[in-house]
Amino acid sequence: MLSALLTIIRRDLLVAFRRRAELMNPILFYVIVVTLFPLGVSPDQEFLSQLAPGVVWVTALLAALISMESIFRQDFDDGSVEQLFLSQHPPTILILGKVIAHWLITGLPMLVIVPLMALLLYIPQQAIPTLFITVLIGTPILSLIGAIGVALTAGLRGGGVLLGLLVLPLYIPVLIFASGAVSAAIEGLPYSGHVAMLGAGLILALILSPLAISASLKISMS
Amino acid sequence: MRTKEVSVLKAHDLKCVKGSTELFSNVHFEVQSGEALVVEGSNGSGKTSLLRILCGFNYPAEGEISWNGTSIDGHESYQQQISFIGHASGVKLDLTVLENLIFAQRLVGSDRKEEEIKEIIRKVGLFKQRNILTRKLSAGQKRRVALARLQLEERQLWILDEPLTALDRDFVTEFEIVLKKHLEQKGMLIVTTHRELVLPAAQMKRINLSN
Repeated sequence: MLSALLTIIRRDLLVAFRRRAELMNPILFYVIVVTLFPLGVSPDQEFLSQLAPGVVWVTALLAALISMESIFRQDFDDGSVEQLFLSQHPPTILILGKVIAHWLITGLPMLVIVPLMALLLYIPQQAIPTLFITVLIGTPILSLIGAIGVALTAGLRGGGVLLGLLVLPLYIPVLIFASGAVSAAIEGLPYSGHVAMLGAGLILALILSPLAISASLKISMS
Repeated sequence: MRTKEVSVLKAHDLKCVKGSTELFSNVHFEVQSGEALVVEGSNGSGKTSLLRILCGFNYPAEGEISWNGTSIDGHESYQQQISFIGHASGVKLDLTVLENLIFAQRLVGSDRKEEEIKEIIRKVGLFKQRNILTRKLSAGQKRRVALARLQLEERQLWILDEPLTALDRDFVTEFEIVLKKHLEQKGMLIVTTHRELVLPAAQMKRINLSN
């Protein structure tokens, strides 16, 4: 089982590596949008640090959304989706592997870049570890939930807009608790409750979404 | 090759409806180990739909399919007996020929050595291209990668949708030998094709969806 998981992760990482140009798109989008805020709103330190948790997270949601499309698109085109269901291993495990690979490609770079974005938006130093933790826990949830939406819309023409409508509402709890935790940390208030809720969300998503993705893929295939 | 048990795939009174059009109805057949079923019919007669139903990807509007007497609906291991090549052949364009086959065999839970995989690649005539991205191969060569995967997976039931598309005549002859060998080893074959497949008549059944 574990070997199947690792196999699919390796395969997807290799495929992603061969398409390096596409790899950079979501993270570049993230960096550019975040840097637009000081230019467009106000470079004032106090104002920006108040705005920052929301900016960092809303942008993360949008970047996750535009990166999601790629998770199953190719598999639908080249017939690999069918092969997932004919495998010796449970489809849910393989799907989980695909989501993990997708997170490694899109979520992990965000994790690296986020402390830099925090400095750019004048998030005080004491809040940066909190921001880091929320991104660490929050972005896998975005990948897991987003994959359900992609699996449902992959068979449709122009599924992109529909994907946003389906998935963004489901991202709201992540947005609330993650930016809430960062805001609390900036004010010096306890934030462990928010982080615990995020953690619970991640566990729930890890358990349930592979089942939902698998069912959605079956619907899209038929 | 692993030894296989004798199996039977039965379809009873199948009907397929797409949107509001009925593609086919009243389809019956039975395929046993060592037999091949050739599905014929004009374009749009539902050949691909039938194959996808047999793979368990779609459901028939009516009728039932059973594998060794058990309905395939609740049959957990049925899909693990199938090797399927559809219009999209399940080949990753951003992997090399060798990588494609290595990953494919891991996913079916077989662990052949790289040498054996290379041998199969040699048999389908892609040895020189084994480290080239599949994207750069011709349509026929991509098809050959998929057919190499078939031989690697060692499944009992081969469901092939137009496997001969874009293949040259010499390779079709070679592929027929592979198919014969598969049938001799208690394999089963369900295939749609617009080109004539030469297989021993005793093992071959035909069904026409246009009638």
